[in-house]
Formats: sequence, structure tokens, C-alpha cells
Amino acid sequence: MVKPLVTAWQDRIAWLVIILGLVLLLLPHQLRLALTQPLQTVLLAPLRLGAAVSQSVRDVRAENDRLTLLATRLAVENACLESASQTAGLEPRVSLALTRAPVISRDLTTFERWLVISRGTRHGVRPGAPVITPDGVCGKVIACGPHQSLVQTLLAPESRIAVLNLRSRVPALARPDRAGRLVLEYAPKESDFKVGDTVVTAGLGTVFPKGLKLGEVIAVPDRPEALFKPVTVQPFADVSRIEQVFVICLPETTALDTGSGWLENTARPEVSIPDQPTSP
Amino acid sequence: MRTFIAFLLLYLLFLVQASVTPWWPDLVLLGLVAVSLHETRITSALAGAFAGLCLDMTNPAFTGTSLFALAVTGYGVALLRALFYRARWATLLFVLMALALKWAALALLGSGLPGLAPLLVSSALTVVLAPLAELGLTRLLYPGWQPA
Repeated sequence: MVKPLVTAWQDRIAWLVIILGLVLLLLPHQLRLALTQPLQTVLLAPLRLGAAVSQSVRDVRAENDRLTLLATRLAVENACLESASQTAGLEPRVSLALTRAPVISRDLTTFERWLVISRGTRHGVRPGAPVITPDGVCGKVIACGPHQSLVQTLLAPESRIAVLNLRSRVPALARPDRAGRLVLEYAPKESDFKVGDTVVTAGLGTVFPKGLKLGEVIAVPDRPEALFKPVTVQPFADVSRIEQVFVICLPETTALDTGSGWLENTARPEVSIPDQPTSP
Repeated sequence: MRTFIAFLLLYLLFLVQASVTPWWPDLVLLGLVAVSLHETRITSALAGAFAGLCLDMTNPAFTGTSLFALAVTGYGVALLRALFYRARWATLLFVLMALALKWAALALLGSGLPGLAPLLVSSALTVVLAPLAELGLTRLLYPGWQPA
């Protein structure tokens, strides 16, 4: 007598579960989504976690590859520079202190004129400090708070950077155009600029040290009527996608407002001039 | 405890199935059929409902479709298994019926069927793997079980 009763009870529960599925199907769409949201969060948590971990591993591997390549490139450049300085009889330059700074905000119209970084005077950042990325120059600090700083990028309309053609050593002045590139001004008309040339900072102003990579020449149009040679440069640093930058910390003994610049205190002069002319 | 492990196994099979392409065999269905061959009707129906609910979470707009189809599958397998002398060979029939029910439910009530090629390949693989899955899961979860 008991067995059929239990069986019937089990069947009723089983049919209730089956009918529950049909009832769920008949619920309004929004109500169904609202009901399943917490369940979805719980049941799919391992899948989401696995996807996040997998993505992180892929990102780390890509970043590792990029940094390895960068380290190799820098090692080669360093070796070349050391070789060159030894050839010229110069001592190695003083290394600069870098402060890593995540980008926490940017201008909302172009994404590439202003950045706010989460480092300020408490971290040694001072107005005028150059801001760079592993790819090249990014801009300079123009205002500082205790924990945040405002960075003017090299694509800001007011930005002007003294530059040098790494190959032909021709100096010029870089200013941004409206297409997110740089245009070189005051390059002599007969100067030697070719597509593919690397442009670096000239160290002539009071902000950027000499030799920081800035961009690559992508166009040298032939304009006979122009007074100077028009040169277009593509910056190495993609300012609109930067997530973290490095600030070159200014030495305590110098400041921009002294008007003396600070490069002299961080790097030995590349050419020394004797006080007294040597007699033949 | 055994029932809990069976539910856990179904959940793990769901995680695997949700991570692979639709060309793969229906692992959740295979696991459910294997479990339902040994569990009671109510446990089988609940296991089917749980597995179906998990599958529905990958497409919440049609929640209830897989729950209904797999709950019916679990209950049906547990109800009909006594009709077969050797449950292991009945697995093929049960899997075919369950696949038909699932695809019909998806086509009529759910988000629709996948493409014809993945549908055929997945179904064929599911049927081919059915005896193997039943054998493996029986030895894993119900080692002392003897076919009727």
C-alpha cells in the first residue's frame, strides 16, 4: 500500500518540476530576465572567472613579448650609445629617475590633448617634468597637485618641442596638426629629411632631455613655394590609448622657473669647450 | 552523497559544454541519461531540471526551454528504464529520444536550432558516445550496480 503512494508523490513532484519549466517559458520577458539574473551570476561564475584568467594570461604574455622586445631594443641602443660616447671620449650620462604614473583621466573631446595622472608632488612630480612612454615622448607636466598632475601631451595645440633628425642631425620645431600628427617647422628648405627618418628631442628647450624618441617621418611633400621644408611626423606614442606613463623626475637642485634649465645637472655636456685655446 | 556528486558532475559537464563549440557531443544530455538510469524518478527529474537550468543561463531570454526538455528527459528515462532488460543498450534509444525532444523544444520554444552541420555532427557524436558514457559514469558513480 505504501509503495504506490510514494511513487505517486514522487511523480507529482517530478511533474511539478516539468511544469515549472513551462511556467518559466510563459513569464514576461523582463520578469524572466530579472528572475534569472542572480542564478546566472552564480552558475556562470566559473566560466567568467576562467575567461578572465585566460584573457589575463594572454595579456600578460603579449605584454611580456612586447617588453622583451623593448628591452632588447634598448639594450642595443644602450650599447650603441656607450660605444659612441667612448669613441668621443665622453663619460656615460647620468641616469634619470622615472616615476610610473597610471592615467586616470583625459580630455573628453579628443582623448589626446590632456591627461591626468595619479602622481603628484608627493611622488616627486613637478611642473615641467617630461612625460614619456616606452614608445616615445608623451608630453610634459603643466600642473601638479599632491596626488595628481595634469599632462599636456605633444598633440595639444600649444605644444612645441625642439627636435632633431637622428640621421642627418637637422634641428626643427615640432607642433601638432589637426590629424593627430606632428608638423616640423623651421626645417631649412635644403635640409635632409627622408620618409622613415627617426625624429628625437633636441634638448634645446628646458623640458626634454636630448635624444628621446619622438616619431617617424611619414611625409616630406615637395612644395617649391614654401619657405621651409614641410615635414610630417607620426608620433611613436599613441596618446589616445596610453594607460600609463613615466614621468622623468626633475632633480631637486634645479627648476624650470630658474630659467637655467636642468639638463646641465642631469647630463654631462656632450662637447666640452676648453677655457683657454690650446696653442699650436 | 552520490546524488550530490551526480549533480556536481552534471554541472561540470555543463561548464565543459558551455566552453566548446556546438559541434561537440551533448555532454550534459549524456550525463543526465546515465544518471537517470540509476536514480529515482524525482531525482532524475530534478537533475534534468538543474542541468536544463544551467544550460538556460547561457541564453536567459529563453529560460525554461532546456529546463523543460531535460526534466522530461530525466523523468522519462527513469520511468521507462524498467521496460528494458539491459539498460546499457537502452541508452542509445533514450539518447535518441532525448535528442529529439531537446531539438524539438529548442526549435519550438527556444532560440532555434543551430546550423544543420553542427546539429548532425553533434547528434551523431552524442549517440556514438552514449554507451561509453553510460559505462563510464556507471562505474564512476554506481560501481556496485548490476543491469536488470
